[in-house]
Amino acid sequence: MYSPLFRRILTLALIAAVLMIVDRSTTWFQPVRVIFDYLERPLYWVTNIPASIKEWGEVHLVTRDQLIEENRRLQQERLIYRGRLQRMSELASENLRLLQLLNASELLVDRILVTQVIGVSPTPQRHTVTIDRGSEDGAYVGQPLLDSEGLMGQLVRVFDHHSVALLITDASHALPVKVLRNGVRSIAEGIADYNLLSLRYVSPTADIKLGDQLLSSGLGGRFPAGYPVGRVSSIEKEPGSVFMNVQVDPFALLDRSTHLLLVFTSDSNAASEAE
Amino acid sequence: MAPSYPTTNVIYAMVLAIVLQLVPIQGTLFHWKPNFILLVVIVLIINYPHKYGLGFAALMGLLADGIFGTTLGHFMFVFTLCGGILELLSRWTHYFELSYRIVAVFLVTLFAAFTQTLVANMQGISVPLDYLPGMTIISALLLPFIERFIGRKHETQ
Repeated sequence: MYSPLFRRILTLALIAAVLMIVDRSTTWFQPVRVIFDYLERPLYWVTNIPASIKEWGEVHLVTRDQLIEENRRLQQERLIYRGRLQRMSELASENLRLLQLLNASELLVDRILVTQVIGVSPTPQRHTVTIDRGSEDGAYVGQPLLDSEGLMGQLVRVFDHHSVALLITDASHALPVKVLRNGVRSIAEGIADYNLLSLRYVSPTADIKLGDQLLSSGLGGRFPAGYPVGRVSSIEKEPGSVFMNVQVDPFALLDRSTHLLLVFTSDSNAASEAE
Repeated sequence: MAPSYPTTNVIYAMVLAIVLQLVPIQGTLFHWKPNFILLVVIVLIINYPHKYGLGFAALMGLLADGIFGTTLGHFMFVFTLCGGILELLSRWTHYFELSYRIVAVFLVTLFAAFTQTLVANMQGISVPLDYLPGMTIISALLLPFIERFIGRKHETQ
């Protein structure tokens, strides 16, 4: 009835569909993914050659005048940041005193580890990056990842010497957040766009304004509280809809940052100390 | 007899495609990056339909799933449909002039992009469609370069 070609297409398409269902609902193919990740590692080294050359050039091909100018700029920045730090330490001690008054537990300082991006997701559907730190460096699944501007994502696969992190803009990622101004809680979801997050289930009466800064709320226990996430860039009240459509510009330079920070949260620090 | 294409050259072409696919691209240019693995598969099926067809496309789709980190079967499904269309049309596409081949590649990559988006949506992953036409145009315009690379390899054998 059907041509042999049509039968072959149908068979292979069915096999693909079955594979998708099995892979989505079980972990049977996890060892295959591990093998692929190990095979890809040398390829990442090759694909990073242009970036390494650029970085080498930025370090070695600078004139004395440029170095003097950079040094002057850095000294000025250092002065500014030292001034801000003095104010911050005053606020931190004040915060600690208030926490003691409230009998709250002392906030532990998160430990961080500098890491570098060695690969990015080859397809726009998945927003992931591969970093050069793995379980040998203490990285673990679920560990938060930051850049100099804000929260970037979390580790989803950890190998000996490298890890894969899911970015907060990935369509399958959701992050509990709160508004810095008033503490209103929400969930920021990725929409597969590096420059946008969407707030989920925001009531039309919620006190959220344009320009509000969002921080990680710490709910869910995955991300530590207080890290900057983004700024509210648009609020639309759709007629007939129960919720508002709120969009957020993430602070982190998700498609540009190359040097990142792995955060060892207070819980993980305590666990490692206990071990 | 139809010319065959050496397996080693296919491996070279695929490795190059994978490396190009993994090269990090920053900013919005990332969305315009073509699927180089799919392009190599299309070029091979168009130029060597007697040797490469549906099975090869499905196998490469499975390989793409492993490399892209997508759900296993996702790209296999897309590549299978594209391979099927190309195999069905191979008796014509094989004799097409370059400009017609470019149009054919544009249409097949556009179909692949839509199918891929559809499959992603079925898995609950929303994908913006804004960049698809641009990406498919770039894919089609790359055809002469890929054919030239593969053709050159062929001549050296």
